[in-house]
Amino acid sequence: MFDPDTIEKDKMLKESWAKEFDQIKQKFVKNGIYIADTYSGIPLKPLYTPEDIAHIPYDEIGVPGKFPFTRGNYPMGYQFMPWANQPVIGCGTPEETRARMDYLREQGMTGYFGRAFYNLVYDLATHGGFDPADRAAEGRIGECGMSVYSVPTMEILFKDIPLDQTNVVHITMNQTLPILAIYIAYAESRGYSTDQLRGNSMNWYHTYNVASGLATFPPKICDKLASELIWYCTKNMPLWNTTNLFGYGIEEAGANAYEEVAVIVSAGMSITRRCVEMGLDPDEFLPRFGFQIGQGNDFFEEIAKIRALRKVWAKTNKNIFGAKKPQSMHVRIHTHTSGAMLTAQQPLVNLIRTTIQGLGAALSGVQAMEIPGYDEALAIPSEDAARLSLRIQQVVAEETNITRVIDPLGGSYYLEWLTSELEKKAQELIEKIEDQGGFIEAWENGYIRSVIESSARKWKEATDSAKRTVIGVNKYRMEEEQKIPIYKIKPETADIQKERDFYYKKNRDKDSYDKAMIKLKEKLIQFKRGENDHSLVPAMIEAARSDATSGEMMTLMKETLGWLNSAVVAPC
Amino acid sequence: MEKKTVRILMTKAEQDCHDRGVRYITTKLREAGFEVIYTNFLYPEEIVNTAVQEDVDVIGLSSSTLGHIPVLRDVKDGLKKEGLDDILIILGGVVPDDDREKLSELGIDALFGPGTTAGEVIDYIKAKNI
Amino acid sequence: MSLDKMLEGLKEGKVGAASRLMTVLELGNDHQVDRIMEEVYPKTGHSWVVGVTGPAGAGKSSLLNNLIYHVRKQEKTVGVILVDPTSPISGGAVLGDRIRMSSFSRDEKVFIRSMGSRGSLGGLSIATLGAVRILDYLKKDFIFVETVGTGQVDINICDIADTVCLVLMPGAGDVIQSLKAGIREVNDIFVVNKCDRPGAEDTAFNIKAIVDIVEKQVDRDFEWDAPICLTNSLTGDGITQLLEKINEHYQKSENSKYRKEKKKHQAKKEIVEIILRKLEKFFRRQLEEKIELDNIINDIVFKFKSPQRASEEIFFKIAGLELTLSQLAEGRGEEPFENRNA
Repeated sequence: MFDPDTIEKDKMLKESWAKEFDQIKQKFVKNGIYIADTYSGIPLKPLYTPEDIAHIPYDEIGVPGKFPFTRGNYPMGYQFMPWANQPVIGCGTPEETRARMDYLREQGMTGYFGRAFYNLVYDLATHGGFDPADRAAEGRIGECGMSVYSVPTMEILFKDIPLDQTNVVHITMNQTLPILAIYIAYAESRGYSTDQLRGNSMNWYHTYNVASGLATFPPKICDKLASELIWYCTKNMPLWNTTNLFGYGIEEAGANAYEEVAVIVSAGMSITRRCVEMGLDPDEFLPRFGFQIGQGNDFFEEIAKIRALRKVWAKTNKNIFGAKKPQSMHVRIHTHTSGAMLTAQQPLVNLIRTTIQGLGAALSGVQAMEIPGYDEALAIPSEDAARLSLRIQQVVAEETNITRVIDPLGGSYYLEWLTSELEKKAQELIEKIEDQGGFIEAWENGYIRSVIESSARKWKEATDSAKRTVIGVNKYRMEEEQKIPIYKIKPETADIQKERDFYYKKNRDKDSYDKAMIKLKEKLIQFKRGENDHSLVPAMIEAARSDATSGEMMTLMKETLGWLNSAVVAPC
Repeated sequence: MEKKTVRILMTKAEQDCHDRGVRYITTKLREAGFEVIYTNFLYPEEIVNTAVQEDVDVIGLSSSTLGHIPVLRDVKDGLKKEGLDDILIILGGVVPDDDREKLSELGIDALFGPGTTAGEVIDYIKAKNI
Repeated sequence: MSLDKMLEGLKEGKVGAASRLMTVLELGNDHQVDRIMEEVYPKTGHSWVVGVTGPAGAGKSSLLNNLIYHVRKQEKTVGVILVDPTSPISGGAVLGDRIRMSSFSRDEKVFIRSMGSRGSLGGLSIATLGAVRILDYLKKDFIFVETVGTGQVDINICDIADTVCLVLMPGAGDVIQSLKAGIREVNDIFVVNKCDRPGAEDTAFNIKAIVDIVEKQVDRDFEWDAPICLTNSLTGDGITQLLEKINEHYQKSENSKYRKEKKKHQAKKEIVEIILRKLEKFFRRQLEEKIELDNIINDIVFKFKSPQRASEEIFFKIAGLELTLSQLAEGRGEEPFENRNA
C-alpha cells in the first residue's frame, strides 16, 4: 500500500525510535521482557507504522459502502442519522413494561427516521415455554422480562401504538415462532397485514443454544425451525428482520473476539445453506439477517473485530453463496455492550465502562445499540439506570462530534493491522468448524462448546490471579460497598398474571381453540417427519387467533419435536 | 480405609442460560479432588431426588435469574423429610442483597456472588471437613 | 448413619439407605463390603442388567435417555449406573451424564447413580457391581450400566451385564478395528447411533462382517443373530426397535445354558478377585507393619541378596506356614526356586 521510499523512511525512523524506546524500557522492565497482548491473545507491539500494513492491498480497506465494507456498510455513516437506540425493555406485567417503554421514549429513545423502536424481552417463564399458570413458571413470572404470551397480553402492551410505524424487536429464546405467530394474529386484529409489520425475530435456535445451558430442541430441529421462520417471513413479511446472529451470547459465554466472529459466521452459513436447500435465493433472505455483537473492554480489538466481521461475512456470502446484492453482504449490527465485563462491586464504575464501550461501538459504525444499566450485575435496570444508559448513547452521538466523519479510525496503522489479524484468525477457526461438517455438527459434537469454554477458563484464571485487572474485584477494592437501589418488579406480578391466564383460558372459544390445536399438532408431526409444505407457521397463527398461548404451543412442540434438557453437555 | 471422596451436586434451572460460572467452578472442583454431579432441574423436587440418589455432601445451586428463594425453600423441606438436613447448601450467581436475610433464615450456608474465585469455593468446602 | 441402620432402611426399600450403602461400597472397607453383600446378594436376581458401552461421543447417555423413556412407558422400573472417568491426577471427576436424562429425576421409579471410575480399569469395580446388586435388591426391572467411553471395547462390562450393547458412531473406523479384540465377549447387540450421519450404513456393514466371523466361535445354545440397530438418540428413531431386541435377548437368554455357564464363570472370577484382593491387602499390611524392610532392601541394592531370595524369606516370615514360595511353585508344577539356575 505504500511506495518503497516511504517504507524505507519508515524503517529508518522506526529504528531510531526503537533505540530510544528500549533505553526507557530498561528503566521500567527489570528482566527485559515486556509482553502485551490483546484480550484474545494476539501479541501486540508498542508501535505500529506503515510497514505493518504495507502487505494489505488498499481495496481491502477501501471506502465505506463498497465491498468488503471494512469501513462501513453504507456510503454515509452517521451524518444524517445516528444509530438506533435499542435498550432492552421488559419488566413484569405488560403494563409495567409499557410504562418503561413510554418513559424512555419521552427521554429521547429514538430509532431510524425518528420512529419508535422497542426492543422487548420476554420473561423466563415464557422463554421456557411456560404460561403463568404452569407449575414450572413458579418464581419466574415477569422475571428478567415481560410476562407476555398471548394476543390479549399483547393488546395491553401495544395499545394505541401504530404497528406499521413502529419497529418491534421480540427477544425470545425457543419460543420465537409461537410469539411471532401471536404478534401476527394480534396485528391482524388491529387491521395490519403481515407486509406492514416492522421488527425483528431473534430466531436464536442456533446461536443462543450453542453457548448456553438452556433446555432446547435437538440441534437439527433448531436448524429446521430457524429456516422455516425465514421462509415464512421472506414470502410474507418484507419489512421483517428474520434472524439475529447472536455473537453477544457467544462472547458472554467466554469466547474471545475472533471466536465470536467465527462461530456466528458459521452459524449464519449453516442457516443460509438450509434456506438455499429449501429453494430460497440468498439475495432473497440474507438482507434480512442481523447481528448482535458484544462490545467488550479491549477498546481497539473490539472495533477491529467488527471491521473483521464485516469483511469475513461479505466475502463468505459473495464467494460461497454467490450473493449479488450489497445488502446480502452487509453486517447489520445491534451492539450489546458487554454485560460480563460489568461488576457487582462498585457498580457506578460500570457507567464508565459502558460509556467507553458505547464509544467503541460508535467508532465501529454499528446500526443500533443497547447499553446495559450500571446495575446490570445485580438486577434488571431501574428507571434511573435505564435513563443513564440512554444518556450515554445521546452524549456519544450528540456531544463528541465523532458522527461528523465516517469511520474516523480508518487508516490507523494499528487498527488496520489488527483488523487483518482478526480476520485471518476468524477465518482459520471457520475452516476448522467447516472441516467438522459445519456449525450443527460442531455444536452436536461439543467442539464449539469446548472452544468457548477454554477461553472462558483462561479469562477467569487471569482475573482470579489478578493478571487481568477488574477494578473493584481484584484491584482498588472497597471495604464498604456502595449501596444502590435495586429494581424489583411489583410483588403482585405473579398473581396478576396467573389470574389473567386462568381468565383468558376459561373465556376463550373452546371449539375453535381445540380445532386449531389439533391441526397444529398434525402440522408439527408432519414437520418432524420432514414433509414440509410450509403450513406450520400458518397453523400457529391460526392457533394464536383462537387465543392459544405461547406456553400451549411450546408444550405441543416439545412433545412432538423432542426436547433436550440442556443444549450443551456437562463441562469436561 | 480409603478417605471418602466428597460428592457435590452442582445444578441450575434449565431455563437459566447463565452457566459460565457454574461450569468453571465444576471443572475446578474436579481438579481439587471432588466428584461433581453436574445437572440441571425444572422443579425443586428433582434437586432433592438427585441429592438422595447420589448421596451428595454438598448442593451448589447456581442462580442468576432469580427464583431461587422458593426453590431453596422447597429443597430444604424436601431434604428434611428425607432426614438429610446436614447437607451443605451453597448458592452462587447473582443474588440481590435483600435476599441475604431470607437465605440465612432458610439455613443456606454460603453465598458466592459475582467475582468469587474458584479457590474461595474450594477452601470453603474443604474447611467444612466433610 | 450406622451400617445397621442403612441395611434396615434398605430392607424397607428406602432410596436414601440404598444410596448411602453405595457410598460405603465405594470406600472399599472389606468388612463393610462383606456385610452389605451378605444381606444383598442372596436377594438379587430380579433385574435384567443391560450394559451400554462404546467410545466417548457416540451418544450413550442420550440413547439411555430414550431407552428409559420407552421402558417407563411399558411401566417397568429402572435403575441406572453412570460411570465417568476419575482424574488420575486429582482423584476428582465431573459426573455429567445425568444431565442427559435429568427429567427422570422427577420419576420416583427411576434410580440414577453417577460414579467415578476411581482408578478401575474400564471404570467397573466392586463398587459398580455392588451398586447394581443393590438396585437388583430393590427389584428394578431393568438396570442400565453406562461405562466410561475409553475408545476400547470394555470387556469388563460382560461380568456385570446380561445384555451388552456396544454403541458406535458412523465412521468409527478405529473402533471397529479394536472391536476385533473384544468381540468374543461383547457381541449381544450393536448400535450405530447418530444414524442420520453419512457412513451409518457402511459402519453397520463393517460391523456385520466382523460379527459374522466371530459368531461362529461363540457357543450359544440359543438362536441369536447379533443385531445391528441404527438409532438416532436426538430424534428417537430406532429406539423402540432397540428395546425390542433387548427384550428378545432377555427372553431367549434368560434360561439358557450359555447364561448359566457365564454366571458360573463370573462367580469363579469374582471369588478369585476377592481372595487375591484380600490377600494382597493382607500382605501389604504385613509388609508394612511386621517386616523390617530397610535392611532387606539394602541387601538387595548392595547385591548381597537377589530380590527372589529376599522374597522367599519375607514370604516365609509373613505366611508363618511351613511353606515357602518355592513349595508353592512346586504346587503349581514348576521348578522350585533353588533348582532353577542349575
